[in-house]
Amino acid sequence: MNDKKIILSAAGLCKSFGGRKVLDSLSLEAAEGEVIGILGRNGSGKTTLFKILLDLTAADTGSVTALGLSPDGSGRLRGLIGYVPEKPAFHGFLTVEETLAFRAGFFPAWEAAKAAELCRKLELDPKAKAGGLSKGNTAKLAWICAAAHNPRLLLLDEPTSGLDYLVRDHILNGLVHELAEGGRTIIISNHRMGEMGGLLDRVCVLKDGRISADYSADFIKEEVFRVTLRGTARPPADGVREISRSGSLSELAVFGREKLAALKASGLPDGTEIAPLEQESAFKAMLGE
Amino acid sequence: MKNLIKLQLRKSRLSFGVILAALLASVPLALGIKPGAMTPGEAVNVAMLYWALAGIPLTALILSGIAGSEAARPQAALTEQPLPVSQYRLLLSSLVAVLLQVAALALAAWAIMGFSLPLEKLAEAQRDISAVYLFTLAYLSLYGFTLSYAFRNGIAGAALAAAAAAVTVVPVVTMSVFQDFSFALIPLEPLKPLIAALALAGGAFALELLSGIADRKVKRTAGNMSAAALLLAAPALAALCALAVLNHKIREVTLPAAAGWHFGGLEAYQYSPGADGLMLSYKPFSGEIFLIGEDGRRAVIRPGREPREKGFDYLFPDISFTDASAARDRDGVIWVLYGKYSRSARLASGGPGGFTERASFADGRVPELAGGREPVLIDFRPDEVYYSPLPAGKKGLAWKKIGANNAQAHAYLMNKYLGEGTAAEFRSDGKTLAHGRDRWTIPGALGTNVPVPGLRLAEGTSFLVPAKTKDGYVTYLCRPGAKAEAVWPGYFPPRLNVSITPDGTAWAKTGKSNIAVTDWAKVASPDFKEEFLDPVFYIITRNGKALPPVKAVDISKKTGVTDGRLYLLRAAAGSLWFNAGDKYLVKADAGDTRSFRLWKLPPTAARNAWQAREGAVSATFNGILIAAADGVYFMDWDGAQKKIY
Repeated sequence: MNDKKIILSAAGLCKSFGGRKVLDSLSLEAAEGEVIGILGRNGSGKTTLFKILLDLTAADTGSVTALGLSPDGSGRLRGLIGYVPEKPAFHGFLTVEETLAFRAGFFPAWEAAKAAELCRKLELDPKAKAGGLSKGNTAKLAWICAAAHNPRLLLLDEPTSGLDYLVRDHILNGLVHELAEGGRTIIISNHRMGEMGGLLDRVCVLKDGRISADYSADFIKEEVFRVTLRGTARPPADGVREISRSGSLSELAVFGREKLAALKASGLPDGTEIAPLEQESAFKAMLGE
Repeated sequence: MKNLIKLQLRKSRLSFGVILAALLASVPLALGIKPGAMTPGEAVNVAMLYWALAGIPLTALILSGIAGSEAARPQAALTEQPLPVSQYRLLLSSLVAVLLQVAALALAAWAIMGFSLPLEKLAEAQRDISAVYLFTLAYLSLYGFTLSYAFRNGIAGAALAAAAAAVTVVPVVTMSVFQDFSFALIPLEPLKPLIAALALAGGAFALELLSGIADRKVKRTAGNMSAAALLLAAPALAALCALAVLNHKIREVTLPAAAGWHFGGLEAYQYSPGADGLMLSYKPFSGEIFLIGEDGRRAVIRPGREPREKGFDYLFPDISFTDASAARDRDGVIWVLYGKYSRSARLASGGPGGFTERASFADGRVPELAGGREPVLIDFRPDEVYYSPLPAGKKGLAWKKIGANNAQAHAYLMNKYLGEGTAAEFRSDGKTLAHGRDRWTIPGALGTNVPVPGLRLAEGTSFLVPAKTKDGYVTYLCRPGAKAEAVWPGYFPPRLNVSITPDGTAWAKTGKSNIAVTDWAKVASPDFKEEFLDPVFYIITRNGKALPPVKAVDISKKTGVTDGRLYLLRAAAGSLWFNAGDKYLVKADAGDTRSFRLWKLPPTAARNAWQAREGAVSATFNGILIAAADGVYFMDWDGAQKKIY
């Protein structure tokens, strides 16, 4: 990442709602072409972070720079970012093509041909009223709106939430791959990070209002281990998380070869099993970290 | 922005379409149900008047209420917030759409009326009415939208907007009407656009602040919420503050208590309190009438009262103009007759120490106080005219019949003045004027069949007589013990209203109006202002010196008083003092009125009140008493001024 250009930088972001601190000195950077997964539990502040990055709401303190602009309330920043909200909504009285034509007026880089091509590819009827679209088709329209102006930065907030398998597959294996391969920077928040498969370059864990962990995709694939052992409970330690416990049998997730080596050095009982941890379980363990 | 406005218009297409259709449908409906006596044009105008007064303002509230509350709904945030425009621009586009729709409805109604307002009887006020109306529509739309957005509730927002508009517009309109018809106490002309600007800019800024708070771009602090509330309340507060100031100032207003005089040409016989260093004045708010001296001592003739009994009195202060005239009898007792124009005249007597009511007149009787050596009260009853001497002590009035008409009353007075030796009459030869032992021969004298009223000068009672000669008209002054002297070329009838200043100077004035017989079209224009050009004063000093006609055009121009309200107050030591329109005291060189000095007078409120002949200013020997907008002032002849009440 170091040799790539940073196109998004957030530093020291704080945001409170009615005394509840949602973001607490959060810092995040994204390089050009990087695909970052933001992993966090419900209410952890993912949507708030996206709203701040999109200049839809202002941070109490901290700074954001994205694509050379800082949030100023004018909405200019949103003109450069492709955004797929968790619950996309459109004016029900407009047709799909009217919606696209209306949006085109706000984005100088909008490509009408690309929007039409995406409609065809995603099997979305341009003449259909937006108010009558199914949830999946509404999501497709949101994706087209986010992609048709060729943004260099995309923010995808739970982009597959509530979609059936076929639509998810359509979007993830089609569109997102295409976008990622096009060198765009993508920040995705998703509960089911596993379905992002090999798309991600990094995964950041958002916990207690800050990025509590930041792992590369390779690290998660190769250096997170499942340790199954019998015996007394082990106190949580840095890089070691208990995944499950059943009687005297406990499963630990260990992040990193050094931590595994340290665990081994501390003395493991006989019969202890060590195996690579599958990605879905690793993400689950990261949420607890 | 255009894109957004189009979107917003499309969003409210249905509700707007229904209302526009209803407006258009009201035309055939009005024609269908009109009474037989009404023309089709009148029926349509009545329908459109309904729309203008109720339908369109209500529509402004409905459309703005819907648009404002919808803009605050989460659905709007989801559909429109992700667009690369600021939330404020989104809101503005929605507001502009509402304004365009309201304007379209107003335009449609106006077009149906043939692009003219059916307010022929209010021709002069049409421009003001239109401005207030358009402002009110804009106000309702802006506030309806902003408040509905703030409260996320269209009904609450619309109701509050209607209340805010009422609290702002109604006081401004009532103050405006009040000041037009009575006095200008607060500077409404700059205040009205200021309130309008506060309403429009304040509403827009409040909307920006509220959108920032809703977006959490601006903190929802008590300070910010108060600022938004203050911005929205500012125009109403400004209007209410202005109303409060007006209600406070109205209490301080004093006016000169004067009255018209029934017997034209006999003004010189009337008593002027200024001769005793006094002024008759009143407060139009409380109705208090009083006599005030140069030192500020007051004697109340009629006590005042608190006239506010209902809330409306604060919107439109209840004031009453009154009239009063005075006479002084041989014993030095001052008699004041007041309220004759309100048909409830009362008579009081007294002096600077206090007054006592002596009589009251009901049943439509209109009495007059007639001055002279023995002042009398003339009582015009429905069919007959009576007189009564002013009784000494506590005696009552003793009425005696004069006759049945005004001519007999006038003849009675002239005979009275002849008897008192203050009038003269012509001999039967038609050219010899006789007064006591004096005789003046005036060939060609005019008006020889009626007595000639006298002027009381230092050397004795004198007379002005116009005459016709072969070269034209000439005016003679007949002084005691001297021959008739031709003083002015031209016709100067003694019956022209001659005023006497407290120092005994007699004067009258002529002037050319800018209204010519052929100028009626110009005069009918609401912007036309009558002007009196070339005012010329005819002055006889107390010493009997007739000054050459004094042209005061330079004073008129310099002071800007071109409406004829230029009055002589004093002539002494080669100088003349004028009251220029209640604005300036002017001291001019009697020989050359191009040389003069000015002193500004305190603002007066007498513009629309019954005016004393010398305006709100009353001359005394030492200076002038001024019935001003905030009390009574005294200014000496060199311009030194002090407030005495």
